[in-house]
Amino acid sequence: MIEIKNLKKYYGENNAIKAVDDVSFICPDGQITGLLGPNGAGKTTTLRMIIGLIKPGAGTVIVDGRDVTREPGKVRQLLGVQADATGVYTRMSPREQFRFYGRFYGLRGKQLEERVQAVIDELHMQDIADRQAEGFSRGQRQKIVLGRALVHNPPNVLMDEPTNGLDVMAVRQTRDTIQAMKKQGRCVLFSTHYMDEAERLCDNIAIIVGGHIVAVGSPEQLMQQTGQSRLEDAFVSLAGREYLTYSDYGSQPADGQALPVAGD
Amino acid sequence: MNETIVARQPGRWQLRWAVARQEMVNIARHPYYLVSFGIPIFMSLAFALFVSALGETDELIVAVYDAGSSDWAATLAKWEDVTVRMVESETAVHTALDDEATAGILIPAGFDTAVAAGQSPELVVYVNQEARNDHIAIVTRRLSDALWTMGEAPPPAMISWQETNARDGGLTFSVEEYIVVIFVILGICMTTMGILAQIIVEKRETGSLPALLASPLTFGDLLWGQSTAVFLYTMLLSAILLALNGGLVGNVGVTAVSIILTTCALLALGLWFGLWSQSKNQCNAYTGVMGIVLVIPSWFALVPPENLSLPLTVGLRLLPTTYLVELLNQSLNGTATWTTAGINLLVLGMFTAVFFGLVRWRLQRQPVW
Repeated sequence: MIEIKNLKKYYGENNAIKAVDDVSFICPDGQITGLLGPNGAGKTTTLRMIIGLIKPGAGTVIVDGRDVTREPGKVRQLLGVQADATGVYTRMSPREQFRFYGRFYGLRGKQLEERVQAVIDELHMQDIADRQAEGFSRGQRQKIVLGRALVHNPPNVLMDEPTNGLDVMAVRQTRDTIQAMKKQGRCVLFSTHYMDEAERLCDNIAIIVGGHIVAVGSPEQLMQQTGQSRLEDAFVSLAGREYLTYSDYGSQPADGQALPVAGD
Repeated sequence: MNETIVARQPGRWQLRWAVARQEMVNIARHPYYLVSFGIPIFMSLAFALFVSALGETDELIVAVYDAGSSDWAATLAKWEDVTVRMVESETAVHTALDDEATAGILIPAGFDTAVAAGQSPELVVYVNQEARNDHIAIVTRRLSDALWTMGEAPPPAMISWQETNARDGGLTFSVEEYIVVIFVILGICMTTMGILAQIIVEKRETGSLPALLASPLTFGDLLWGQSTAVFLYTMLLSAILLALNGGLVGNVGVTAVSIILTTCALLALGLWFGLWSQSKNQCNAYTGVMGIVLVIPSWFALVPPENLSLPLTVGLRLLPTTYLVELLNQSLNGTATWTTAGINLLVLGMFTAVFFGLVRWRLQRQPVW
């Protein structure tokens, strides 16, 4: 389980740019939580603070009872992170890349080989497992990135826009994998700006705009809250006004006061 | 989740070694990096071919004048890889040394009898200082072995070593040693700094850095691992270049420590340029220029120090490779001891410490991305 409490990250002179401002939400085990927001809303910054790549200005991130600021190494052991698909080693095969990442988590010998094979089977990569990744399609690269995140069998998985730029078949496979992870009891948190994806997959959704959370709930709750029948309409209703405001000014209002949320 | 984490948290050195292994594979499979390592070896082999095409021979010749028909002279004739030429006079030995012989041996009359009587007779051995160092080393070793086959304590004979064709006062070492120095410095400067800087920048350019740092690996571990991989390749390259060019002679310990220290200094420079550069092109430009600057001291290796202008001397003293040139010079011609090499090794160590200090300073001020 991942608990995010009052997370803040400000940049610039006098902390004028509020990239993430007082963000709080919980991602339970065995559920898929979506972090939704337009481009530049603070999704990636929030994910990076959860991983411990960026030090929060304030607030805490607790992963399975461990504070990421105090025990970053142990927290990373509990996390599987699927970042962007461009970070693939083209001169290594998927199997070699999984071994490489597996060693970072203390896997060795037979245990490592078993986990690598399990990931290859789970992601249906048998036909490409031993080929160098040069020339792989984006979908195949995405599988490598996902496999690297899962090789140590983490109880919590973070994914940053996992279906971005994928073709229809690859999107479907990725969504199936996310569903499978939920069935395995993992806590899954992913960021996206595809509403239909969030509506299909997510048990909980946190909508972030201009660096702060404007609404949290299940897709049904958000639609009910806004009186809309589609999540996209609910999202626009919840985020639209704030998005326009932040787009005008580039950050949250200087006084830090939350704007009234549609549907409140 | 019914399954939990399958392994315990690895130690820092395990993480660093995992990175080093991956980078070694990465380098071995990257055409550009392979070419970088291959060029000094190729140039070295091409030079050897060029030299042999000019008529120089690899034949190791020893001229022997046996004044008293010694049986021991017959054992010398059985040496493998050495051409033993029996000559008729001491003058003929000197003629052979002036020509191309590596060494000349004068076996006095009654040598066998004197050895048998335990009188340790004198054996004069001329060593041609213009000969190749590895040839001199081979002759020295073979001669010693051959003598000890005649008996144990006391020494069967007392060898009186005489140098011939001594080098000019200003010329501190031979052309063969110069070639060793040129290729070793070229190899280190072309590979260590440039490749390390590039594999650091590569992680940022390809976007693989965030994924790596989302694991228990820290940025420091990553740099350690990358440096280790390049260090090991540089050591391998240096050993090959030394072996190909007859550089495994003299004080090999001083040669090894000098190369290790210089490699460490250049690794620190590679880290600096890797952290500083935003792209591989930028990185290539910086390390290319720096590499040329660092090779410069090897150009002046054959020039007596007193013939260099003061500004040039001062300028060269600011480069770590100047001290490597001096150390290799001493170690290859056999004059280096840990005492005589100590100051230069200390200076190289200080360069390394200062460069790593600068890297540490930069790391504390630079965000990972």
